[in-house]
Amino acid sequence: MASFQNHIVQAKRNLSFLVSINSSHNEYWDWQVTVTFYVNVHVINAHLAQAADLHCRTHEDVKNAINPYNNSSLVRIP
Amino acid sequence: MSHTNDLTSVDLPIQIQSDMMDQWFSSMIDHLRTDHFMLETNIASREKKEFYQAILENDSDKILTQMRRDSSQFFIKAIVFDYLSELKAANKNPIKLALGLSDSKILVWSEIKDDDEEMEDLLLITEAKINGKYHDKGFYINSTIIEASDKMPIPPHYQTIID
Repeated sequence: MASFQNHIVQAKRNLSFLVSINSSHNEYWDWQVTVTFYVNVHVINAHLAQAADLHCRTHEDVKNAINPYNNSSLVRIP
Repeated sequence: MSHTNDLTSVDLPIQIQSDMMDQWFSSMIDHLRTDHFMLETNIASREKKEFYQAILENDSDKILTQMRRDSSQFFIKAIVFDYLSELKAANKNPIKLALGLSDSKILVWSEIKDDDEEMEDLLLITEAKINGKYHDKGFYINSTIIEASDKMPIPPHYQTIID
């Protein structure tokens, strides 16, 4: 299971790749959006790992954990 | 047969819990009597007949399968009703709205005007409210939001609500 640090390392790697393709290509915007999405997936998962030792298996589980209307989650968005 | 009272609360005084239990038990017996009458007069639904047949045959696999199906139908109906009620209360509609079903997921397909961030936010907040209420029951809404300029048709496995 990935730690806070593992997620941050992967987020930075994805971000570095995004900067690289942004500077050289504009025709692959669908993949640029996909990479942006995964940068954020790892940032959010780093937060969940750090704040609640929570390691989600699906995007739905992440969405549920940060859902501001999920009163049972300690890491929901205020 | 429906069980509508929450008997899980431990914070209520014992007398109130006991009254609730009496009320629930009385309601359950009434439902059984009604079901008995419907079965005797052959006006019970096919599902109800199958349920009692499974009980008579002690077929626990069939009973649990049917209970699971009934529980899914109950929650899916409640989620769709709550979702559409939330949107109605906001008095703002997307251009197109369609619903689909995938296991325990209720799929929402919405088409909004280009750059209509207010509508997009409303759809996302509505999804969050419903999921906050039902996710722990094992059901949730998953939205796909597109803009008019995307020119994407509603996929065929969705049921159109607004077009």
